[in-house]
Amino acid sequence: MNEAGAGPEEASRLARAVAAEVQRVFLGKPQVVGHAVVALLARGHVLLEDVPGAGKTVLARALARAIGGEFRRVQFTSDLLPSDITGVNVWSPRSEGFTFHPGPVFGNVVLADEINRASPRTQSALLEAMSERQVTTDRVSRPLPQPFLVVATQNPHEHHGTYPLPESQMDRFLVRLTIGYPDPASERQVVVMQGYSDKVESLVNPVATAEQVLAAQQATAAIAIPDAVMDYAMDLVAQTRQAEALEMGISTRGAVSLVSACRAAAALAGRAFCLPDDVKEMFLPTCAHRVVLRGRGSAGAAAREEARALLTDMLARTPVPGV
Amino acid sequence: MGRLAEFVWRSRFFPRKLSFTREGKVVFLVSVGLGLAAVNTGNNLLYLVFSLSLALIVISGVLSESNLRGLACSPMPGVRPAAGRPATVALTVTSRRPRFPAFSIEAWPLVDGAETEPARFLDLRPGQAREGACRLTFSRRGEFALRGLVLSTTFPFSFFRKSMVLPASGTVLVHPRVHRLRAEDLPPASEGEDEHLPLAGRGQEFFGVRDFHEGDNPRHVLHRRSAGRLQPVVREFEQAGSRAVRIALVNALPPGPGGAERVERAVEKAASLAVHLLEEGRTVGVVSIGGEVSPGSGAAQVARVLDFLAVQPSLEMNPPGVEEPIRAALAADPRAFVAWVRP
Amino acid sequence: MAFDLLHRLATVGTLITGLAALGLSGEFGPATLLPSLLAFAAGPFLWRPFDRRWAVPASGVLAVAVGTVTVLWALSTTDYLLAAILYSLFLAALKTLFLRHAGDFLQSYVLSFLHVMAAAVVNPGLSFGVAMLPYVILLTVALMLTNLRRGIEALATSPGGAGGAEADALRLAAALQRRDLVRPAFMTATVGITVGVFLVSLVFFFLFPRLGLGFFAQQSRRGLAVSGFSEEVKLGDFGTIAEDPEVVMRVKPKSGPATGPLRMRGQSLDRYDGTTWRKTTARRRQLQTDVDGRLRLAARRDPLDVPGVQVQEVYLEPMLGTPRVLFAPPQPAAFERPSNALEALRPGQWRFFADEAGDVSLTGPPAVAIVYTAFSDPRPVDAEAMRASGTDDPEWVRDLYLPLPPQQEGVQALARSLAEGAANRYDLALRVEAALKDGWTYSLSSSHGDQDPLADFLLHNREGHCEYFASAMVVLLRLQGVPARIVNGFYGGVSNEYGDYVALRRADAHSWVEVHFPGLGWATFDPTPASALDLRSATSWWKGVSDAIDATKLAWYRWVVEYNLEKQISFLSALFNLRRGGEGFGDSMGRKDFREIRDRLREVPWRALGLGILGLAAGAGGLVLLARRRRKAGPGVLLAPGDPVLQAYVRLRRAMDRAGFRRAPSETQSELARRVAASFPEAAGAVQDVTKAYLDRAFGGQDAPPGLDRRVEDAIAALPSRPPGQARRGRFPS
Repeated sequence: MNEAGAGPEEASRLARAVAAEVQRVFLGKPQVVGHAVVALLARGHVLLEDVPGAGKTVLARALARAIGGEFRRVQFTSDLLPSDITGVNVWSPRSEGFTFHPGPVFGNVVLADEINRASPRTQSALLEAMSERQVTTDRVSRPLPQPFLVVATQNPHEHHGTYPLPESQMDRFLVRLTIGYPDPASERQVVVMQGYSDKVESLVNPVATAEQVLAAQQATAAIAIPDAVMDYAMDLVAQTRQAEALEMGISTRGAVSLVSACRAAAALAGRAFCLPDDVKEMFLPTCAHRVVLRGRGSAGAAAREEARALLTDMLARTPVPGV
Repeated sequence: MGRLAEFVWRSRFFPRKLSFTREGKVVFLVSVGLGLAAVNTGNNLLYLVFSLSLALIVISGVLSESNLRGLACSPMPGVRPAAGRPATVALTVTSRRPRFPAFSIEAWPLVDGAETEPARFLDLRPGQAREGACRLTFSRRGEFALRGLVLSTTFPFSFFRKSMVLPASGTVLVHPRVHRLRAEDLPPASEGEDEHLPLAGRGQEFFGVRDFHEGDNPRHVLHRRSAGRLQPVVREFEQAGSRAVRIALVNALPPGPGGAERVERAVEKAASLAVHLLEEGRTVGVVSIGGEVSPGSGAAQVARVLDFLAVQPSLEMNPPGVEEPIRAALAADPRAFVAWVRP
Repeated sequence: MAFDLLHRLATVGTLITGLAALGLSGEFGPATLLPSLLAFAAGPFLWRPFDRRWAVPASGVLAVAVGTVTVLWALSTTDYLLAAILYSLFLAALKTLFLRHAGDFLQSYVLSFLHVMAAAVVNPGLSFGVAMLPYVILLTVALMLTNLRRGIEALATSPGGAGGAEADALRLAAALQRRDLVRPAFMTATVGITVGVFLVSLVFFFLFPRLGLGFFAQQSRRGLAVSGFSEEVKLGDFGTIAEDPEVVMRVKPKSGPATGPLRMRGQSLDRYDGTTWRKTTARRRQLQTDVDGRLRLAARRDPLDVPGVQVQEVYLEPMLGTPRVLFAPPQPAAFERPSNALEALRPGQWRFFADEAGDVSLTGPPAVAIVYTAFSDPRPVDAEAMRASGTDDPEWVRDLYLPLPPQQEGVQALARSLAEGAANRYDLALRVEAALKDGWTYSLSSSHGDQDPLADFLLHNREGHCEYFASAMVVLLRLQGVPARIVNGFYGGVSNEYGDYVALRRADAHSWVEVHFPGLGWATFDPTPASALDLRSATSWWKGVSDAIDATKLAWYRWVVEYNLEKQISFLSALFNLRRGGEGFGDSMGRKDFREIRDRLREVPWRALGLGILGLAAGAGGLVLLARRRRKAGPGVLLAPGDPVLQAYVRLRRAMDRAGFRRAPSETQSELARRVAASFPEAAGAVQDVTKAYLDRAFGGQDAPPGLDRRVEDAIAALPSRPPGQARRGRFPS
């Protein structure tokens, strides 16, 4: 019955290989790489919030190269149109008909750079493509390549002339990550390897094919969540809904995301079942961007830190199952 | 609709309803045939098989009843769905039973004119409360009455569907359909003035040039300039102005057949236009016969405009003076752009 | 177990028990059963390489084509039932390849239900009941799992999930592989509902009115194809069936406990041609029921007036290929048939005849078991009366019971020598009987010539079985002018310790002799050595088991297969009156009905029933235990107190506790292990190994790794026994 033939072992082998390859060029941040791979396995998308120059492009390029996929990049600007992302039908005089010119969203790993610079309409075109995994232009739906991972970035310190993603749209990203500065040793190496972003393709080797990634995604979805772990996760989710300081807790979709991220984290750790550790590890990356602070909204670096502090506090107060 | 109305009518007198599922009908027919065969032949083993099928049916009926006992459903949260688009509603079902769990529970709000896909729960432990999502789809805009909350189950054998209507009341405001607009969909000009609406999200005035980024519209590439710099450059435009746009909706029935349908199209068009402009960050107001939303911007204004448009009736008025009330209202702010939407 | 696998297993179980109900009838050969069995067992698990887009229409075309062929075949053979059964088996086999959605599963159950319906028609045996029991359980479980599957399917495609149809399919596939969907609560509910379905079925079965209309009454009952009892007796044929333990008749003594072996007389044979005995009496009269509903044989006033009359209730299995006669102890006086609503509607279906030899034969639907009560006159004929009866036989007796083929001189001489000194017919008969018993040997294996087997037996071989002994006695008496005849029937019997009845088996078939005494009638003599008969009915070591099985069979026939309006009404009215009786309604009436209920209850084979209930309880207990085991070892549920891995981990935790490392409630076990490892690098490996073993066990349901206890010792050794500068506090809370 299991036609794909990939079990949890195969999924974790692939996940570790991809993570290792990416870390060859994305130095000093194994956790960020791990969470990006989790998003890949759980069929989710990544929101990177960071100052420019932290290596977001390198991360996305390396990931694309490691899974043998196509990398595409879109620079979001205020005048970017939805069709600039999805593609347009262009009149072709030769064939006397419209031919579809696919937009940059037709890639395996799509870097949506500074997503908060574009208008909400353009943003929602990307977000729609992310969740539907297809693009509809002039009533024709075209499936996006598989696997499909969007790495969107937004600069939390820049407010002027931007359209911060509304809460409901933040929900569409499986994880929100911040890269931060590398530790001194890694940074030194980065500086030594300056200009290495052009050489990503030569430094990273493809370690998987698209089919293997799809099979791994499928195997990941089948990873068991023991009842006790599920109860633990749901306990945390329920607390976000009851918390005084939060105007909006984690939605049902958020809970689903947390659980699928846990599965992927278990796969990355080489297990066929989830542990409370997976929930603990994935709770902040998958949930911090989904809660809305009372009276402040979710945008901005300060709000982000406050939400993280609140959720960390919840983790510290919630008992873990087992003796 | 008919079945739904009947269901509601029945629910006043019988708070529970039992109906056969498709499989239940088959099983029932097989049982009847089996009973006839048993009576005709006097074959006791046929009676035995017949008894088994009767027992399955009876147990099914009894258990479906007890499976719903002691369950409660949270009131439906307020939603503002758009016509033709599924809206997701979260419902919490609580089991107040002391001992036995409940299995295979479905819950949905009973709303006039809505196609519903229920929220589903595989099981509910005693005392447990679980949240599930159901989906409502309305075919047209307007205000619809909530008749109750339905709890339903096909446990244990999928032969029967047992449903129970819990009292609930309220209304659901359904927004008009909003279409994504393309440039050619936008109205060309405002009434009587030769000013064009600066639509499509960008200014018309030339602002400068900059380097081409991936994702830029290739139509704006300045080829001559690019050739000179050995790198593509594009035009940049001035940001749109901050003057308000007022959408004038003539919600009067036009003469001829299909008038009501044409008014609906007009309402949708007004809604789409308003949402489009508001998403671009502009200030938008709506004026119709008999009402007005004063100009504003932001997400709250989107809600105000759609709430307003959701309940605009189709008025029967004589053609000549129809637009007079609108013009009177528009006169208050002569500086605003005006976009007329007529059926 | 993954949900999908569990559901498919339940489906396979349902299909196969349904098939078993059909197949155990013996009506179908392996050519039908084996392919069905294979398809049902393997179909749901087969990897399906084909694409549903063409496979579904192709299977539809195939089904229609095979259906057409079947219809044509049925029209030509007119065996519509068989055609319908074969086609439904084919459809079910085809369906097993397409089990995908809940609807597919339900369709396969409907087909399986049709198989069971067909089995009810072709298989009246206990095997149907035996198959029915697991069928009820498996069908209930399968139906409940199908309901659960429908919920899972709906959930996988319900709002809140994104990604379109492809993602729905993936989500569904993943959900179906989950192991935690069938929770203990669901298992418990399943067991309860199964018991409920079973009990409610029984109530319906016993209460549903048996108003048989019988428009298409057709009982297809198979009988025993061979029996030790037959129309004619060819000397030398008996041996082959002598060991056959198949029960042909069950006799329930009504007038007192049975003492000694039972003798059930069947039919007498008059004509002997030197090798074969035949019955030539053809004149027979139809017996009519009298006012009491009895069939009377003798002119005697009322057999029930006689004190100590023998009354026996007989359950006679159908025996194909044999004359249909009613068996009774010698000197039968009357028979009584329980009235049957079905028969009342179709009078004349059963007819009973008595001939001049006193044998009772019947005609009726073939291959249907009959139940009747036999009244027989037990009074032994007075020996003095027989001595005095003389030789004045009626004409017809002489004509029928004296002729003989020419006998060898040796035989005639033997007859003469035995007759010497015998003063009368009775003494002669006794002397011949005793001579044969003492002078000849019982043997099942001896062979005799085809020419004159009897002379061979009497003069040379002097070994043989009952037919030789009986034939010899008749021939020796007839040679002396005494009218005698051979009688076939059953003798012996095993009393069943579960059912309060005596079972007669095919191996109990027996022949003996009746001698005519003028004015008195026929008297029974048995020249076969008694020890031989004892030897034949020797009990086997598994008698207890076979008794229980046979009692269950009888109960099955009496309470299920032969259940009728009569039983139902008496059962109900007895229940009803018992309740009313307490209110002082017609005392005698109530008492009589109470007695009736008591009698009915006595008939229930309590011990067999008890065994059955015990078996059921054991099965249910097993299911619950299985659920428990799942709960203990399954992922998601933490460990039972006695679990070895848990114990090992608790030992480690005590050691860590002593070293000053206590797990905060919000800390995970791995975090604790890392904390300890950071402080005591020499303990790191062992601590992490034991922690991993615990987590694998508690959350992954895996077994303990080898050498776990050694690793615990390693860890304990590497950890300090007391935290530096800190007094030991309370015990580790477990």
